[in-house]
Amino acid sequence: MSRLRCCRALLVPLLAALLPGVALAVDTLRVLAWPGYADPDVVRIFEQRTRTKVEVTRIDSDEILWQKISHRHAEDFDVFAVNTAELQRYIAAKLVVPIDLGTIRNRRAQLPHFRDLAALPGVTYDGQAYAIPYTYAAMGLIYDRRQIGEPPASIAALWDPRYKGKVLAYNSGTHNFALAAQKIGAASPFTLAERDWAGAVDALIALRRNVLTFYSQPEESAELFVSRQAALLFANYGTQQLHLLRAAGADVGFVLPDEGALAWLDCWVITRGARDKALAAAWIDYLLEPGPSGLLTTRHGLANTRVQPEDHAAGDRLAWLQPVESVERRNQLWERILSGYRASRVLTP
Amino acid sequence: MRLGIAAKLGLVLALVGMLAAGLTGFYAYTASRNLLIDSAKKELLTSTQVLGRRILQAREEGSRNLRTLAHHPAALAALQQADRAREDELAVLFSLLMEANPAYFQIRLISAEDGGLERVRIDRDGTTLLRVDGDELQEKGHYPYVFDALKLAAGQTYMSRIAINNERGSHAALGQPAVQYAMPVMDPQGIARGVIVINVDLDGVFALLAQDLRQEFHLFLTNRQGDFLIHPDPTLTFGFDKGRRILVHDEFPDTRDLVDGRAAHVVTTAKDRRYAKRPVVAAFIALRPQVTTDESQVILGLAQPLEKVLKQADALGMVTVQIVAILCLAGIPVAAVLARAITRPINDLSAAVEHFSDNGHTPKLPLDRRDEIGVLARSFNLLRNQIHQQIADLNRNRRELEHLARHDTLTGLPNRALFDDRVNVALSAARRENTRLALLFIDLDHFKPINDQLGHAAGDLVLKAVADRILGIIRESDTAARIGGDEFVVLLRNTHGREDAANVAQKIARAIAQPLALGGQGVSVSASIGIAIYPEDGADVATLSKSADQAMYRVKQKARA
Repeated sequence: MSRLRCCRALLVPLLAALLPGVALAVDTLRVLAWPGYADPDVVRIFEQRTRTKVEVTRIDSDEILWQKISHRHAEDFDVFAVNTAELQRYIAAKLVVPIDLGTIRNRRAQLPHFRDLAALPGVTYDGQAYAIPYTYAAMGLIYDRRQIGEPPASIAALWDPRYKGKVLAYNSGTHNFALAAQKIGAASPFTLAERDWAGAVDALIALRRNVLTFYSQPEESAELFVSRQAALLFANYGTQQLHLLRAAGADVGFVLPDEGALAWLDCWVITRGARDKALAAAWIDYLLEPGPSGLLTTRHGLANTRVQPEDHAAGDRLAWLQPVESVERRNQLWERILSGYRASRVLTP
Repeated sequence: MRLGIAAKLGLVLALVGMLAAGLTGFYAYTASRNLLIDSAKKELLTSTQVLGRRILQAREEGSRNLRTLAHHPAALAALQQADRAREDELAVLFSLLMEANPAYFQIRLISAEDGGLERVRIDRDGTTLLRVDGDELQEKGHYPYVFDALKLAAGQTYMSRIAINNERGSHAALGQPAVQYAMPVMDPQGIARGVIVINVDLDGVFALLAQDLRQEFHLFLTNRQGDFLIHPDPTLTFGFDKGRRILVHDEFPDTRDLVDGRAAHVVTTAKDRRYAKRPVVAAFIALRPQVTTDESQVILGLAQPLEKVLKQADALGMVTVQIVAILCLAGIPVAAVLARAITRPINDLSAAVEHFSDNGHTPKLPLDRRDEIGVLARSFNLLRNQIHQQIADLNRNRRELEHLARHDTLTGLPNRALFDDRVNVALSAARRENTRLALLFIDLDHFKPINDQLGHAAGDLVLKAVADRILGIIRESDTAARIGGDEFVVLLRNTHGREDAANVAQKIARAIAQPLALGGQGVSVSASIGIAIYPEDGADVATLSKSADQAMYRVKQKARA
């Protein structure tokens, strides 16, 4: 074994001299990742296997991610993770490049709806795939099993007068208009047609009258749910809230509504500045292996693209978050609705 | 040297004095500085507690106002049926209360029905009060100050979390830190039909409560988790509203005990980061509102720049420095006097030692002192007296020896050596003054038989008597000497001549020839006298002596012949 390694140590520089252009230990892969996406042990295995060095830079907000990539026109990084709603502006700014799907062999092990890239919003552009799904979270409904016998099937449960004063919803303009769009059966939760606005506003006023209150933080939601004996919770933070509630002793269930749960999906993408695109693709392919993907779930509680989470039913639909038609308009109207404006005044300019 | 010891001692005393004064001053300053900081801390804590009580009182006053409104018949009437007159009545009441309480942003009557629709609402809008009416009234049922307050018993007060008021259309209150107090309005059946809500301007109420606090005091307020709600730097307040936490225990680490509920108050000094340049002392107390609220505790704090506290200490320090300086200045003459007092007896002693041999001058010694110097002085005095005594003895002995060396022990007359000296002196004088002098050489005739027959003692008596008789004849200025067994010489100064000298010689011879009573028998001796005259017979002692001797022999031979 040691003799082998010794031989290799001698051979590598020799080969490097003889075969210029072959990727060897001199390469460094520059990765920009969210916490938990590239743990040191995961990185080490990749480094050993490819005889490369990986530099991981961590980010924790969409704004910082955009700054780092757009600065110097994506020259500073080779590969990074971004959610599908955000991805659009990177494609538009030509900061990312299409991925040769043939190099990502582990896509074969992904769940079918993650293999069908064309069906995922914003992942393909002009017939070319720009992103490989990696992890996601769905905003389902959490319900109190003691108060609600049958798991609610529809997002309309939030409006159910049976639960009046026992519903906790999230304080967010973009998401709540998406929910309202699902409630009124609009074509897309993310792009409201002009004719849909009045109905959506009415739906949100009705929601306002049906809820106990709107929360902002996961901890706050758990405390309110338990202390005010709420029955139904729109889980904007997904299973994180489920865990919080179960830890607080609540007998709760988690369900994804038939309309399709709003969900964010983080994908790996390759920058236009990538020095070695084959190595970047190898990184993505490696993370789809059972090891790294499994750790994502077991260590960080994040869903991976290989295994159906136990809280999700097989037929569940997910409504992957997309850029909305107008964040400003949604937020302005939402603030009015939250403040208690009556329907007649919400839409007045 | 004497000055040296005094100067050195004085310097040392002065330095010791200055050191003592300086050290005392320094420790007094340090101790009082700590006392000042302690008392400033206590004062701060007291001020904070007083402020805390005022907040409680303000809250209680708010509760009283709520109770007045919630129990007002018009409130229930307006809730039970849309009655414009009753609503107007309430609106007037709300306005009056808001005029009396400038820190009230809003007073509202909110129905339990219709999604928590506001029924009567007065907003503060700049300097005026505004009645919000018609379809501008909003539905507030999803706010805790409605749904939680509706669950309360009659007369109980609800207090909201302290937060930035983001409710659109709330006029002056929009975007401001605020807290809502609410109380249910009960019908006779005990069912809550609505709530009265007073929206209080947090900054306004604190500006009022803290207006008589000292200018340099900084006010802090945090929620139960330690998020700043009031801070001297307004950008650090309500961080949680902007997605970041700015916590009191990050700025004042000691307050963690308060946040965790382990202490009721904390007094601390902050010197790091923000306060690196201007350290502060700060007091924090936990206030637990005795009302229904999610804001189970708030932390109230006051901070005061340390430099303000230490300004008093600095004034004290200046006074201390002045006192020390005065003490030091005063210490110099005192040290000088003290040094003189200590060194004077030593100086006296050393002067006495120095003047030891001057018999005339004897400095006074501090013999009466009862200390070591007195002992030393007395010992020295004794020593001095002994030495003086011994020197006196020595001098006396020396004089006796000198006398013996130059005199004849039997007769007390000068001996030959002394006589030769005198003759030499007289010869010098005679030469100078051109005068004459005479040398008489006297030899007793037949003296030996007396000695042999009557004994040496009798011989001695005869010689003594002869000496006395010679002295009885000659003048004071003349000198007689015994130069041998029975030989005498006499120097006669200023003689006029041989006649004169012969005259004296005759008188001497006659005197010697007088009988002498000796042991009951008369004895008579005679003398032969030779005369030599200066300058005629010689010009020096030897010649003159020889000449006189020869003259005497001639006389003796003449007498024998």
